[in-house]
Amino acid sequence: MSSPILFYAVWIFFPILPAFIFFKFLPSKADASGPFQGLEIKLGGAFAGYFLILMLSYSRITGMLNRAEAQKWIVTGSVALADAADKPQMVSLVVHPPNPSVEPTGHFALELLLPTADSEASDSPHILVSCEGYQLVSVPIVTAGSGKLSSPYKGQNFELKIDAEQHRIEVVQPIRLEKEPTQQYNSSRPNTTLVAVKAPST
Amino acid sequence: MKKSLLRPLLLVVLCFALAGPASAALVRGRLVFSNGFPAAGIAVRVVSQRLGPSGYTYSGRDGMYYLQGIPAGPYVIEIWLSNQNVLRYNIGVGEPVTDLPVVTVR
Repeated sequence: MSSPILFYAVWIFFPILPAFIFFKFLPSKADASGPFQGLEIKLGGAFAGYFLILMLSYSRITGMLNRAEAQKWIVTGSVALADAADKPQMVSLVVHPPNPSVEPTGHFALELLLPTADSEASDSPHILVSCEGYQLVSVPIVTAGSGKLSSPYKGQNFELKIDAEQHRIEVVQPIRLEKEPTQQYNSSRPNTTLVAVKAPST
Repeated sequence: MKKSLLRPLLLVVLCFALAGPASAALVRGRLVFSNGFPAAGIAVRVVSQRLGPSGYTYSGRDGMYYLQGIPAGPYVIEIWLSNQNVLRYNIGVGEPVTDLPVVTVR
């Protein structure tokens, strides 16, 4: 929401600076006159320079704004299950496209919307990589502070090469999926117990 | 006197050298809804008083989650249903593959 306001604020206020500098320190007699949007305008001096810069940059700034807005949409809706006893949280949503598929070489590419600094939702997305017979791996896509080496305890190390200009993120090392242990998970015979942590009394 | 001290000391050093680094376990478990359906995409981590929090992992489509490289010891496992709703359980990690009981969420 704040992005368009920021765009327009920059567009309106930024040309003031060069217009002021030029007309303060350089001798000039700017004059802008003629028909504009059905009105006859006649401007002079610093304001004419400001107005010209403003109008020249109008198409560019609105183009940038439209592109920025076009990237970000929020789709809302609801899911209803035929059996009312089942819970909607069981439904997992997958968006097509993108339909990320892994090539025979192991390479993949997918488009992802990442939260910006002023996004309301600040959670970074994760890519969940799974394969039958292998342990699932989750890859956090964090644009800030990535590339740090982590310990196995902190999770598998995923060094991200971030190209901010091209909006491309490369997971540098292959995402390694480990085979499931030969010892199958047997829910009826866990080898440790869960003891609920008591909530701290307030 | 010196000789008698040196021999047990060498034995201790040899024991440590053969033992190598402390082994790390794979901790795994399953999350399901109350009707038995797998609960996918739920963030899970363990927290140790000594090591701090581990990295997050997520449950897959079958509800299974895996945390690798967890050294033996006591932990609190956290299951993040939302920022306001976190299930916490005390667990002990010891076995190379530590299987946790199935947790029913919501």
